[in-house]
Amino acid sequence: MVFYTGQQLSYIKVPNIIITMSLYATGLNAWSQLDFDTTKKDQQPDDIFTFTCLLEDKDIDYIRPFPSYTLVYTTTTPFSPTYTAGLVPKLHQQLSTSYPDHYHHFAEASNDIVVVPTHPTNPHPLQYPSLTTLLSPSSQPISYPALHLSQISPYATVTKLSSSPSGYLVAALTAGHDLYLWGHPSRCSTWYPDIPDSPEPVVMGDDSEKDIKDVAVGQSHVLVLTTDGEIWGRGDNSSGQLGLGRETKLVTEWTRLKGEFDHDKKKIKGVWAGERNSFVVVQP
Amino acid sequence: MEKEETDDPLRKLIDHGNSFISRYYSHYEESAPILEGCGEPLVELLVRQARLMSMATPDHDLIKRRLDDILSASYNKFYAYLYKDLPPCWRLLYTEAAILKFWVLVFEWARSRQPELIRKRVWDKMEWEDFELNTPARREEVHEIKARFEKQPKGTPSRNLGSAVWHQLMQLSMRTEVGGVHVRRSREVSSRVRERLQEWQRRNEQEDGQQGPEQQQQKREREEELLNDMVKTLDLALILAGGGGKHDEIHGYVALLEKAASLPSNDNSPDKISSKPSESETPRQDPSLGRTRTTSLTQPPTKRARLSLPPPTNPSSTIDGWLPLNASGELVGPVAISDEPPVNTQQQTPIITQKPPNWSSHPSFSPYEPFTPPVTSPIPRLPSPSLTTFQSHLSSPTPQPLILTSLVPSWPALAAHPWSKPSYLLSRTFSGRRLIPVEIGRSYVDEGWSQKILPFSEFLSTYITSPSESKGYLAQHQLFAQLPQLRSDITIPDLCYTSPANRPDGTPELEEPMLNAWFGPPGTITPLHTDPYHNLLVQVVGRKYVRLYPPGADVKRRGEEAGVDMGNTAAFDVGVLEGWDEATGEGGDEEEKEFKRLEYVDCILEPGETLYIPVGWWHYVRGLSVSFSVSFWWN
Repeated sequence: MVFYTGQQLSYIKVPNIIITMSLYATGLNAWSQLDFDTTKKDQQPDDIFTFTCLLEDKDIDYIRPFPSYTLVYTTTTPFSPTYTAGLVPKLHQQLSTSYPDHYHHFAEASNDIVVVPTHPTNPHPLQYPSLTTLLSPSSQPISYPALHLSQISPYATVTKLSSSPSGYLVAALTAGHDLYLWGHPSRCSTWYPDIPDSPEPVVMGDDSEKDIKDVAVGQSHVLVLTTDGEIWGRGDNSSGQLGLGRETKLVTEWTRLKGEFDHDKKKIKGVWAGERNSFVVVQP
Repeated sequence: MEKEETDDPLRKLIDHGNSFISRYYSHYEESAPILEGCGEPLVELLVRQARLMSMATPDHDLIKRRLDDILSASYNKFYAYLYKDLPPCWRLLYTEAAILKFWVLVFEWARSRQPELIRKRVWDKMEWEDFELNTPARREEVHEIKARFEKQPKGTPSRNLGSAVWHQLMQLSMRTEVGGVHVRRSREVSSRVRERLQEWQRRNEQEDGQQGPEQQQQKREREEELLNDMVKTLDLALILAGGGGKHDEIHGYVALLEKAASLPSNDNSPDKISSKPSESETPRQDPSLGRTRTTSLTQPPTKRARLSLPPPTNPSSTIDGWLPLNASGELVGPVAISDEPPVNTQQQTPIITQKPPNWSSHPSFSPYEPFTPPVTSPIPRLPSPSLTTFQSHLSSPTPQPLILTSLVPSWPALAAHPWSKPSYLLSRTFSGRRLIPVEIGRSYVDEGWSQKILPFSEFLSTYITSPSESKGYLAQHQLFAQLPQLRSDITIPDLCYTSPANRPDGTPELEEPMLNAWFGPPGTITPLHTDPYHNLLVQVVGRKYVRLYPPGADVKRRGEEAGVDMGNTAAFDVGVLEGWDEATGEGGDEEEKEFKRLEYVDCILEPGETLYIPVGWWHYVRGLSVSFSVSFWWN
């Protein structure tokens, strides 16, 4: 199974385009899921503790971080990852060969439940108890209670939902650039002691007018991108997932996350969170 | 050479660790089919750590972090599923990672206690992999260099690896073999190898330099910290992951560790070592070991007692609640680690390595009872019924509660191994280092009730032997599966092997009676509730008040709370309605009237007495003094 399509070559093919996008990442790297440089081979790679530029391409579209590997997509080939780093589990490989459509949209929860996109005629996504059941010949989707977006706020249109893999913390972004967060108080108590158990708007820093552009939730950390290009975060940093260095293990307040990407006033396209790592894509 | 090792517990521990690591693949094979469920990435990460640990100079810090990553990933799974749906692979993965982490900590600890032992290990294990050499053929080169060095008259390779041999080995690592030709290898690899070797060398020198009293003190503190970490790692595997089916293995490791920890630490001064006749060709005959062994046999008991039981300098790595435990305990959070000052319990700590002491001279828990409720409808007492009598009592359509006054007279826990003595309990819990889960709060239905895992010594000093505002109750814990050394102080009453007629629907038959420990200060309360089992509640230490309402009583039940069905617990608080406790919530007069109409039986259970609670009976249990009970459930 080959995910790696050698897209680096096409980058070389367009020498007159100087404009490139950069992927910055930090956090867990146990399976080299942050090493896009395939010439590097380390039997026990260390984690990355500050946001580091790991990849440049003329056009990075979006990131899909899995627990043990990372996929990077470009607009050139929208449904096929251009870069892969880390260790791809066999079941994921099987899914990508047997059901490529499912593979490019599926989500896997901590309790194995898999959600895949629905058929156009079916308004609800399909859910399976696990990837193994999905891949078995006699697979049957099952249904689980679903969240009704109207519960978040009756007046706001939700444009993005992000949840920790365990589902113990959920973030919703509205069309009006407001951010709602809620979760399971005792399960989040170490890193988000005051987490509300129903959707409540949150504010970054002192400026209550700050609009939110993007949000991403990891196992126990949250990343927030404001419309004025600042990145904020809170939670566990023991693997470096907030890019706050080796010494800081945890932040329980919203903290401005800084990195090289701040310096040259570049535009931040979006943020993504793996279980224990974070990704930022910067465009010129 | 080998036979010498058997009587030095530390060496025995290290040998065990070495063979565990080198045999890890065969060990792992038993677990492999189950672990498959965790997916290859995590399994690969686990096996990778074992492989790296088998190298001479592994990066212990990174290995520990990776093992913590595995612990954290599997711990998160414990909460991703309903308890009953958790696939067994996750408990096993947690346990496997915990055992590997235990060995990393053992090597670090042993390195501080007896550096020679670990340096020897490094030297012996040093192989081509440590230099990241790419062909086994070059293994011979490493062997040659080592052999050449060992032949030198003054060569004590374990002592000083920084000399010529080090240099030669490093040279080796700078070349690699491509198509049979040696070429200079990438700067990155060779500098990585060099760095690792130099780091070890630095540590060797640092250890040799540590001789001032302050450094010795630091060294001892570090050792104590490591010891607590080792115990914590294994205990969390037992408590959180249920031991992953590896109880016996883990108990064996704790026993080995406890023996090794009871010896005084090597003070590690080079002059003492070099003054011994050294026959360096046989590296096993490590002078420092001989010295330690002799010392340990000849030291006067007083000194030994002091050295063998260093005070738990900081055993208070308390972990609050179930959530913040975060798998390895040392991960995140101000909440996760309590800042309580270290508790000094060593005055009570007995000598554990010597003959069983006479415990009768040691102080007992205080019998003080702040409040004693009246007994108004006493449960009948009889000495000890025969099996047949008891069986026919059970078989009656409505078996009644009974107190059996002499069912357990022969329990060591009541006599030769007195659970009433804090010092005895500490001696059975690795000087109080073993962790136990404790419920914090007066009763599990109260606001602010939580669970903590903390060292036994801290539990004793914080909640039992000194007055504390919050109540800490070791309740409904299968303590004896975790601490087999306490299990042998009690026996399962034969009465638990009777077969009661009425098993509630849907409750599976227990193959063995289920044992739970209940240990707490005065005033702990188990609110009125029912269990789906027959119960023999044996009072070992102190007194408890118990009130029972028959199964048919019109007791108002609680509903579902925070997703948990609380229907087996009554909606009212006996203590509040009786006026013994202050009300915490609202309660109507109507409720009180209704409650007062209900008929009940009650008793104060004395040490050595056993209360039979028939299945389905509502029971309210209140600790009057410091109290330790054991319950046996069967059906």
